[in-house]
Amino acid sequence: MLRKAFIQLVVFLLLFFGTWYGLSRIISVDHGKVERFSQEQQKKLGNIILKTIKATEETVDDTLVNSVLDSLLIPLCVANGIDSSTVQLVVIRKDEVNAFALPGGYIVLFSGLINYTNRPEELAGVLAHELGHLEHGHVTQKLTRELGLAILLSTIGGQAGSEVSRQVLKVLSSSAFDRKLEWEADAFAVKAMTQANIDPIHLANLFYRLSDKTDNLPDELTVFRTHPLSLDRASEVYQMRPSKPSVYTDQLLDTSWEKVKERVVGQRLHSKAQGQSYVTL
Amino acid sequence: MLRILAFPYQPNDFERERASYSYLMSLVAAIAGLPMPLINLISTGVYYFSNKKSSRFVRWHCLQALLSQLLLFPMNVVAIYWTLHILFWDWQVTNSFAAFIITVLFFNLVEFIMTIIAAIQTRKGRHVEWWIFGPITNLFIPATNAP
Repeated sequence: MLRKAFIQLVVFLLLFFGTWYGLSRIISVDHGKVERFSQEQQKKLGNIILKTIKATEETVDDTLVNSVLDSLLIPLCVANGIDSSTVQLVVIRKDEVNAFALPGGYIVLFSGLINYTNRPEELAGVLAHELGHLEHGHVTQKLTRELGLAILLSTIGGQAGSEVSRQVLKVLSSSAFDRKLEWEADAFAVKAMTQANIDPIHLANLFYRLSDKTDNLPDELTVFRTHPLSLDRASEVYQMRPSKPSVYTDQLLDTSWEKVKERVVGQRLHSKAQGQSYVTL
Repeated sequence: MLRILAFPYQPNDFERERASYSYLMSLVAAIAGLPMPLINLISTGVYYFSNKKSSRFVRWHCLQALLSQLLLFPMNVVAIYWTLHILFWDWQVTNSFAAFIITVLFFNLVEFIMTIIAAIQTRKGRHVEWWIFGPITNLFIPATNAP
């Protein structure tokens, strides 16, 4: 009798733990933590996408530009405990106001964005925002949700063709994250900028200027947007800014920044950029 | 999972009723809408001890109901503990948590259905033996020919 009860108990426990284990392999609720990708896999995926970018776009490899961009990035990393050697900036010569992060620590900046900024602190805000996406794992989360784990793993494994890499690039470069993730990245940016003694107001100013160009939906429909309005983001960044006055420093002289923009764009600057396309950051 | 057997003697109406209530005791908290496994355990425990001097049929079913709660109790406690930590202590909702909750709910649902069946069958005077708990209950209260 005892033996019978014992066997039945063992079977019950096996059923319970087996059901639990089986369901945990099927269910997918923890989108916030894409621990399915190791750092190595993310780097590999980033490299593959970067290769696609370099094959199709002109990249800017200028000593002055690189050193100035590093001078914006490194203080942000150091002040926020991020190893700056794990982050790499790539500048594409393209007349589009855009920037995005790739898995593996890459931040891609378009020359159109750099040209659009009035001051280096605005670009520092963009860098801080993209660092926020990287630190919170938003990039791999977005790719997994929009393309699926199988496609990404096959890309990393080299089984997917170049068309898939282009698809991955398209997802990252042409669509913003949802409201919650953008808010998280904006909050990180404000904190990171403050820590690095850069006034977050410059990020708010950039969003404010962008709102004129990108926020075209009628007011009644904005609740249906999955991506936040630039004007809302400008307002939120402004509110998140610390109320206690901090000592903020200017990152560069204005004349130096103009030189950088010239080098990035690759031509003498006009007073107003024309024919640019704008993508929400 | 559930067997209907012949008990050594035919219980009278009073015994049937009391035996049936032992299973309903385990539904007390569920009826009240409270996710508190301890209440079920306490209520079946109290009912068992208050019927210790009753007939074998009543004692047998009270004990089986109590033992079934003893097995469910730890998994329900873990489920509530884990849920509270997610709600109030910033733990994350993971795949493991979701799978655990679904598993616990499933097993509780199975137990609920078996409880209802047992309550109805014992009310009719039939002897219902559950998987695991029936054999263990027989160790403490043997279902022999003597009343």
